[in-house]
Order: sequence, then C-alpha cells, then structure tokens
Amino acid sequence: MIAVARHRGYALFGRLFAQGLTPDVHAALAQLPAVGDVLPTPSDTVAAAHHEALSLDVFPYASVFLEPAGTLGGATSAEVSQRYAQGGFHPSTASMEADHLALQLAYLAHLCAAEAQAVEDGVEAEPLVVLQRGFLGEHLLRWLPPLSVALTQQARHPLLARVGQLTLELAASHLSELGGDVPPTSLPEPALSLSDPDTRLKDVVGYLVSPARSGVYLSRSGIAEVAQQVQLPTGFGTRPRMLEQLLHTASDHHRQPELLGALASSVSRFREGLGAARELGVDVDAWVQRGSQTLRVLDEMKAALPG
Amino acid sequence: MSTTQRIADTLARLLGLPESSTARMPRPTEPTNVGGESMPTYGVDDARQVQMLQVDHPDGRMSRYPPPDRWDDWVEWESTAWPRKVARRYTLVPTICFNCESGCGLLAYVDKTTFEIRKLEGNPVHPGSRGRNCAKGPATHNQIYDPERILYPLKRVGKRGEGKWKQVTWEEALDDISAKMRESRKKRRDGIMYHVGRPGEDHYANRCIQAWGVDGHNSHTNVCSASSRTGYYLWAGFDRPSPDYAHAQTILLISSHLETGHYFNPHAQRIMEAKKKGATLITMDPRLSNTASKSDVWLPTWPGSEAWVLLAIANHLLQTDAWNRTFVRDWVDWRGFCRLAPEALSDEAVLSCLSEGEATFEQFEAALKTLYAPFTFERAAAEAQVPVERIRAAAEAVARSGTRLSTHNWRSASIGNRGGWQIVRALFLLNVLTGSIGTKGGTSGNSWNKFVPKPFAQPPAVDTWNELQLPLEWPFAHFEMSFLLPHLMEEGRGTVDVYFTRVYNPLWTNPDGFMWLDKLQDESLFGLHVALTPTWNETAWFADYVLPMGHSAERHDLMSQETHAGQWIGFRQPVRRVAMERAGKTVTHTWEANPGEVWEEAEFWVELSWRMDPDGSMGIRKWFESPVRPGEPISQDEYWSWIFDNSVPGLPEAAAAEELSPLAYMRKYGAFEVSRDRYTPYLAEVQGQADEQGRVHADGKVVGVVVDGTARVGFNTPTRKLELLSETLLSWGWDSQEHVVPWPLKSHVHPDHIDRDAGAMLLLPNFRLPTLIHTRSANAKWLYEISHDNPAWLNPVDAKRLGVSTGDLVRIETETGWFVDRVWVTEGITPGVVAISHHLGRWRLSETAGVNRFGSSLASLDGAGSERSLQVEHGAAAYDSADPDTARVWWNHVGVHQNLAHGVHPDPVSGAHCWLQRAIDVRRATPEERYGEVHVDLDKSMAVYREWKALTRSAAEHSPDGTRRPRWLKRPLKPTVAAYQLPPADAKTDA
Repeated sequence: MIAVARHRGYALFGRLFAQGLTPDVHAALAQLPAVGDVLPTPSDTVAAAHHEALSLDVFPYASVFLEPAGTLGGATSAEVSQRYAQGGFHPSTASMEADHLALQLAYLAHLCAAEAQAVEDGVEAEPLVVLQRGFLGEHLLRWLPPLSVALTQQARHPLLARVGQLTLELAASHLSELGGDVPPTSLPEPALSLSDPDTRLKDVVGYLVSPARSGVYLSRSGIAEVAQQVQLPTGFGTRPRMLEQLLHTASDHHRQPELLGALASSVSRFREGLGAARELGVDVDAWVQRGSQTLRVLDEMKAALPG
Repeated sequence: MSTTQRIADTLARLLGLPESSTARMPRPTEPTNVGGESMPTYGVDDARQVQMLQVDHPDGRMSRYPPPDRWDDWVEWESTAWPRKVARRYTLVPTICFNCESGCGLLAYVDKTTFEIRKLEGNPVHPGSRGRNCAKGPATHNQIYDPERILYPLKRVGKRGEGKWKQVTWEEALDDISAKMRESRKKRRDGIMYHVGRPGEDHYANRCIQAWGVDGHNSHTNVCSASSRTGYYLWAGFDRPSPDYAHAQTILLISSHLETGHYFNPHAQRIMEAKKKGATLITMDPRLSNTASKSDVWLPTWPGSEAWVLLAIANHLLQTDAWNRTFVRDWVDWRGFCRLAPEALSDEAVLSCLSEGEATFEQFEAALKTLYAPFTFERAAAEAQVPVERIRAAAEAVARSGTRLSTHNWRSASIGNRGGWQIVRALFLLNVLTGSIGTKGGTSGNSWNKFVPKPFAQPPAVDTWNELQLPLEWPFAHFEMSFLLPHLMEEGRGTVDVYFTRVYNPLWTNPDGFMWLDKLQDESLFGLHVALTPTWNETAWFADYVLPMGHSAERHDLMSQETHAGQWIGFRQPVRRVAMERAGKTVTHTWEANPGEVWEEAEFWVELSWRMDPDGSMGIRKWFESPVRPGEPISQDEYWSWIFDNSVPGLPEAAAAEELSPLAYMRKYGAFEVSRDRYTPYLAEVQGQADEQGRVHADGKVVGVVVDGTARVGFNTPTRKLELLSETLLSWGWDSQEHVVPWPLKSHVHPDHIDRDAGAMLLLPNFRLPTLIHTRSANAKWLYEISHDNPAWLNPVDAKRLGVSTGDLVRIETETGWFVDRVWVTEGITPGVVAISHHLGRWRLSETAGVNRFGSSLASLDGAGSERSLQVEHGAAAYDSADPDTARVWWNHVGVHQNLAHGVHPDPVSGAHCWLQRAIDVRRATPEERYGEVHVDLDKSMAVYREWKALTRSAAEHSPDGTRRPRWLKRPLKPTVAAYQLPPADAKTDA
C-alpha cells in the first residue's frame, strides 16, 4: 500500500511542479493538511506566480544544481535519461527537459506504481526497489536539498516552498525505508582563485551563480533582495547579468563592503537552510562545505577592497 | 506534528485520493470546423526539433519565414504553451487579406489534425506586401472565429427592421431570390442592383451582372475616390496614380500613407525604403497624422486650399526653369492648349502670348508661365494658412527631385472638398512639369501596374442605362451616384426590384443615413433586399435576406493592385478547403469546408444565375456553364484553371518549371509576379494611320500618337497625350478657366464659408484610423481593443474658446442636424477644424443581436414628421460567449455615428460626396445632451441635396453630341454605344 501512496504523492507533486495549480491538483492538495495553510485558490495570479517561481527564479533542473556551469543539459541530463531507460520510463521531453524535477518525480511515481503492481501480481519487486534506491540516493537527493532551500528562500511562492519541503521529506523517508548503502554526495571542484591575476569579475559571478561550485542558489528575486538591502538598483536580465551589474554598481557607489556583507548573509542563511535536510538523514556535507568556502571567498574579496 | 508523522499522514491521505490521470490534449481525427461557434482546438504532434530557416531577401528586410518548400508540412512550437514545448503540425495555405483594399498576402497556418486555422501571417512571396502585414491581416483570425458571425441564411419575418429572423435553407433562399430576379429581368433591365462596398476582386461579380443583362453595378466609389479619379482621368486616361516610392527623391503626399490609405502596407514599406535612402517626404494634412509626424515638411493646409500650394510649387518650377521642357513638349497636348485657349481662358495676358494660327512651343511656354505666375508662395501661404518658408522648402524639394517625384492623393483633400478633382489636377501637374511620369522614382498610372486577366468568355455590353445610378445631372460622375440613391428615390426617379448589398453598409457608411433608413424600409422602393455579409451590420438589419458569406480565408477571388512598378496577381482562396484537399479529402463546394452554412460568393453567383435562367432561354445560363463539362455549372477549379492557363503571361511557364499546373502553382504560392520594373508602357510603338493631329488610327479606333516621328501608344485620352486643357470639360459646359486647366476651385469649406467668429468650424470626418476597416472592423475584437473611440479633435485654442477640455461633451451642429461627442484636445489639429474619424460609432438595435457587442452601442431610433434621432442606451460591455475574450472587454465608448448628420454634397463635376462639413455651431453640451445622440431633419437633408444638385450642368442641357456622358470616361461596365444616347425628351434639338 505504501508504494501506492508514494506513487500518488510523487505523481501529485510532479504535476504541481509541471502544470501548476490546476483544479484537479488543487482538489488533491486540499486533502493534505500539510499544505492546507498555504494552498491558494487556482487563478490567473497563482498561475503567473507559478511561472515566475519556476521559470524565472528557481530552475528545477538537476543540471542547474549539479553541473559546474549551472546551466541545463550536460552529463547530468544524460545520466537521468539513462536511469529512466533502465526503469522502462520513456517520457515525452517535448515540454520539458529530462532532468526537470517534475519528470524525476514522475519517474519515481512510475517505479512505485510498478512496485505496487508487482506486489499485487506476486512477482519479484526487488529490481524496482533497487532502481528506486539508486535514483533517490545517487541522484535525486543529491540536489533536492538545495532546491528545497532555494524554493523556500529564493522564490516568492509559499506553496511551492512547502511542497518542495514535503517532497524532500517524502524522498528522504522513502530512501531511509529502502535502506542500503548510499554514497556520499560529491560536487565538482569550485576552481576559483582570487589570487590568480587572470581572474575577472565575471569569473567571480560565474562561481557565485553556480550552485555546485558556490553551494548556494541565487535567484533573480534573491539577487534583487540583496540589492534592496544595500539600497542599490536591482537591475534586470539573467542571473549572471544581474549579479555582475550589481557588483559594478556597488563599486560605482562605493558600497562593495555592504554588498559583500549582504551576499555573505544570504550564503549563510542558505547554508543554515540545508540543516533541515541533514535532520532528515540526507547527506548535505558537500553543500555546506561549498557554502563555507564561498563565505571565505567573499571575505577575501572584502579584505581586498581598498581602504 | 513531527516530520515522520507528517509524511505518514500525507501518505495515508494520498491513498484516499482517486487515481491520478494524465491530462492529454484531445486529438480530433476529423475536421472540426468551429468558426463562429467555439474556439478552435489544435492537434499535438510528436516532439520534433523545428528550425525556422533563414530566407534572404535582397533588400535586407525581415527574413524569417517558413520557406515555401516546407509549407505542406510545417511543425512549430505552440507559442501560447511556452515554456512548455508543444509541437503543432500545419499546412500553410496562402490567401489574400480582405481587411482593406491593398490585397496583401496572408499565410494561413491550418492545423493538419483539426483543419482549424491557428493564425494568419504574411506571405513572403507576395510581390506587393512582401511578407509584411498590418494589424488588420492577422485579425482575420478574429473574424473567422467571431462568436457573433452569421452562420446560416436568415429570412426576415415581420416588418423590415423589426429584428425578427428565421433560419432558412439555401435552397429556399436561392429559389426565392432567383425567381424575383427572373421576374424583374423579364420586365426591365434596371431592376436588379448589385451595390458593392469593397469588391476585393477585379472582375468576377461584374461579369455576372453583365451576364444578367442589366445595368446594375453600383459601387461605393463616390464616397471614396471619385474626385481623385476624375482629376487623374481628365489628365491622363487612368484614374489612380502608381508612385514608385521606393526609388523616389521626393515624395509628396496629400494623404497619410504611412499609416492608412490606398495601399497602405505595400506603400508604407516602400516610402520608408526611400526615406532610408535619403528621400524627402512632404505631407499636406490639417491633422498631425503619423505620416505628417514622420515628414520632412508638414503643411497643415486649411482644407481646400491645397491647389494653391501645389500651383505655387508649379509656378516655382516654371519660373526657375526647373521643369522638364522635353517631356512637356513631347507628351503634353500643348497644341490643343494653344488652340482652345482663346475659347477657354479669360486671362488676356496669357492669350497675348499666343499668336493667331499655329502656336509654337515657345509661345506655349510663355503662356504657361504667365498663366501660373499669380501663384506666389506668399499668396499660397495666405490661402493655406501655413508659413511661407514651408511652402518654399516643399517647392525646392520638388524642384530637386527631377524625374524622381512620387505623389499621391487618396481621400483627404480630393474627397473632402467641392472641386477636389482640381486639387488632384494641380498635384499631377507637378509630375507633368518634372517629367516624373513613368520614371524610376516617379509616378505611373494605375493601369500600368495592375493586371486583370480575362475570363474564358465575356458577356456582351448591356443595351440599357440605369438613371438611378448615373442621372443626367452628373455626366462626369466617376462612378455611380451611389450615395444619392435614397434622394433620387425621394424624387420619384425609380425603384429597385432586387437589391444586393455586399460588403456594403450604406445606412452607416454614407452621409445622410436616416434617408437610407427611411427608404430601405419602403418595400415599394426596394422590392427585395439581400445582404451578402459575413457579419451583421446596420443595413443588413433592414434586409429581407441575410446570407452568410465567407471571410477572406473562406473564398476565391483574384486581385491585383498597383502597389509598385510591377504587376502581380494575388489569389484569395478558402484555406480550409485547400488544406483538406491537400490531405486527400474531396471538397466539391467551398461551403463544405466553411463553418456553419457559410458560402462563398463566387459559387453563390453561379448557383443563383443558374436558377435565374432554369432552361437557358434567357441567355444567362450559358455564361455560367463549365467550359469542359457542357450543360453543367462551372466549378471554381475550372474557372480559375482556365484563367491561369490562358490569361496570365508567364504563369504556365513558371508552373511548368515546378511540374505544377498553373492552378496548383497559384494554390501553392497565392501570388504571381506578372512583370517588374514596368514604367513606360505609354512608349510602346504601334502601327496605324496618323491623322493631321498626329493621332494613330487602326481598326476604326485611335490607338496611339506620333511623337518625334514614332507612333506610340501614348495615354488613354482623346488626344493620346496628357491634357493640360481639357477639351472634354470645355465642350460639356464647364468652359471657364477655373475648370479647364488645373486651377483652385473655391471649396464649400473655404474660410469665407466658415464664420469662425460666430462659432462655426470645419468638421473633418474623412480620416482613417490605422487599425480599422470602415464598416467591417467591429467583428475584430483585437482591432477594437486598439481603437474603439472617435473623439472630436480640438486645438487648444478652440478648446479654450469653447471652455472645454479633454473628456467633455460637445454638441456639433451641421447643416442637417446635430450630434454629441467627447473632446480630445490636441495640438495635432489646425485651429478652426474639428476632426472626427469616420471609422467608429457602430450601433445595434437589439441587446443580443446586430453589430458585435464589443464594437457597438445599443441604440434606439425615433422619429416624427421629418425629424429623426438616435439615442445611445449604453456602449460596449463584457459578455460571455464561446470566445473567453469577450468577457474581458474593458472599453465602453465605441464612438459616435456622425455620418447620420452629414448632408450630401455631390460635387457637380466628379459626383463625389464632398465629405467635409460645415459645423455651423460647436458648443459645450448641456447636461441633457448625451454622448452619441444624433438628431436630423430630413427636410434639411433634401434642401442640402437640392442646393448641390443646382450646381450641376446636366447632360440634357450641355451634352455636345446627344449622349449622356463622354464615352471615353470610365465606367465599371460600359453599356453599348446606343445606350449612351440621351432619351428623346432630353436630346438637344440641334444635334
């Protein structure tokens, strides 16, 4: 029965991330007390907020969080597709890339449904359990914790933040119950040297906007919030463009110390946010270490400021 | 609750939920055809990476279009699904826009699953529009899926205008109408009238009318271009200009071609090309139009004064010897000028330049310079009320343009003023003097750049004359006196048995609409009124039958327009039908592919005519028989196949090169370029015998003229040359200097006639809005969202005088009544002029039927004696329909129907309605006077009509040869020579 429940949970949360708060998704979520206090009524405004949260602020793709460049595609995406194929899951990628959270949850829903069917049919379900364990431990739970923190801290969408947290809890408990060894999370090397004379501002920006390198996810809204804290123009454009422009503007207005301080606060808060995953038994050490490393980078930058 | 408990609870509750389902887009397998009934749906295709291919064009214009070799099967992402990637598969079918006269190319994206139209974009292979469209083209989609469009034949029950209708079958409608046509035709040849607003094609309907053997073609031309056509025709034998804007050095417009006008989109893009290359743009307009705002020289001339400015420029060219003496010597009938001058001109100084006997060119030159010498910059500036420096700047720009002077006049001054045709004569004089006729960057004749193929058989000319259309008082009318139909009926001059209105809404469009309203309700005057229309309009409400006809993407038509120095044809086709045929489905009639029971007129006319002459005894049926299936009605494929096989030079060869039939080629591309760089057809050499005046005769006709020893085609005038002094006008009673040569005629809105001190103003109603389409836009909500109100433009000087500001109501009194509108205070209008666009002010008489609710006001009509009035109950409002957009209508005011209060002003020469009105009094409205209300006294209407009719010079008194009209002047369908003879009682006794 629990496989059926997980199947429905993953499917429901996946549909929310993919389609937004449609009437049927709303009806199902309304049955869950865990989200009742943040569940709005479906409307154009809610749909717009959904779009803003997942298409402008927090991009719910594994590659964005795990690839050094912080962009879509790459080995992560290929690996996910390979796992889908192993599980007999062949989703249409017409409307979203394979490593989108919604498809990953749909894959887990697929595996859980297959497991339930296998049990009902009295056939061997262990291979399906192995696939679930591998996908959760070796892939999804590597990036779901920072995504959950990003949704909570860097997007303005309480429902998605809550469901992101709920998804994390569901996945963590799922993996915990499946048991078995899970390899520790590893992340690519940060590779940023402030002492290198060839390091430019855009290299610093590239580092900061890559979650895998900096241990933090900075969304447009998050960058704008930092700018507002130090009373600088928020700017517009892509995340790297906004951040680079903000650093330039801080220089123009002699507010680099304040800006670096505000960025450090944001990184600290993000690092602290990861503690919730740790409490669920998820390994987030690599992410915390990256965050600490970034705080040191920001300190170095601050120390290097003239005067 | 702990995390563990929360997950446990969530999982438990999830078990209680019903099984989740995966929502999928429905994939219909058959044509759905929902136009007018619900919003279309489209199929979802398998994901496939789609690349828009780069299409390079020599002029560097926008270049991302689907290439034609991919039109049969085109996949692209659904834009509204973004950021999801939803692939749709289309077949792309070209057609022609019908939302103005330009004939721009459209490309319909027809869904290959549902055969619904997803969108309409530009056709990149169309030679005129070159892939570009204005807002009106894509809005065709709106009109097709308009939830209020008419989908079934309707027949009136109850009294006309009562608003009660029943749905009838096409069989019933066709049988009834054809029987009445047969009955009328057996009695008379002027009892059937086809009254067309926008033809949208060049020959098909006219051929039908001619086949019926009646003089029944009536147009909208006399509320549109008649004055301008008259001016050009008297000069050169063509009735419209065709400027080669793209290569011009100077462009002189009495129009607003950058945003509206004939042919706005094709012309605007070429004007901008010239501007980018450094051309000077001069615009004469009392209104700061978009075009004026982009001009190098804006001349906000007082309406009617334009000829003064133009002749001052002409005088500048002459006095500074900046004119093309060679061209004038070769191509102007200067000998005729010298010969006729003593009879026609009153200026002794001019006449003294000419010796008795045969004059020399040098004498003509001296006479010409003397004739126009009084037109100084200073005098023109005083008449036009513009700074003299601007006129000088314009003159210098014209002078330096040489043969690269492009000029145009459309509506505006020509159709606004009494004597507007002389403004056009003065404008074209600048082309004549600069020799910029048929030159690169110059101005050609429309007939040189428009191509109308001949059909497989042409019925003979009719031997009759319909005096309700061309009465004797206006022998130069260009064309029918359409807007006077109710006034002529009021005088007891005739009746109509069967009256077709097609894309025509005279009650709303024409001046003096209450006169139309009265007469349309009288069944003794209009025996049967059949409205052919895709959508409701004010006039259709008073019809007996309302027959739904297809929009531009639902019909066949062939079009050509003079958009540039080349010739093309554009094939309007029913895109669903073509898409279904491409998919292997059999479609015999277009209505099978159209929504509801919407027909196309091309098939309607065949079916109607067939039934009108059921046994062929009337000689009508044979013109509608298939050339390949004797005894059977012709199909559209057969009709157009014959034309494309036989009447379009180069098309069969171009089609063969792609292993296509000519029809298949046109179905694929939607357009064909017949010729390019076509400038000088008048120089073509001809064979024949020359007479003593140099005119060349062949087969009993004048076919050319000898110039420098070579016989050439020349112009289509009696002399085959450009006629500076019109002998035709001279001999038909218009024998004064101010008429026979380009000269200012005093407009009915000359400052002498507008007592501004007493509160009078000039009412300027004849300007278009860029996104509207006369009477046809109220079914396009996208367009109405952009423009839906027609406030009264007032200069701050006038606003201050009246004590009003933007948003206040003003009461505007005309010669026949008054109406109330809101004020918009702007520097963009000349002081003394109140300007209100004629595009808006639609109304309906029923809350839920009539003109679309987002584009019309609910109105009530009232009247007693000669008084008539219209009251607005409420404006537009949001409402629920099959289209969710109608619930989002946020505007309320949809304008004022000012035309109701316009008296008719038939120009005594051209017959054109002179649209400018004398606003006798303009003042702040009282609290009792409500927005949109209109009051008219029909006695005053008839008094104004009679006042203008008294200005005419009737053929009965002035015809020099016992005919009704100079035969060389144009008519859409010329009757036989015998029909031109005056009726015996009117013939001159000395003939």
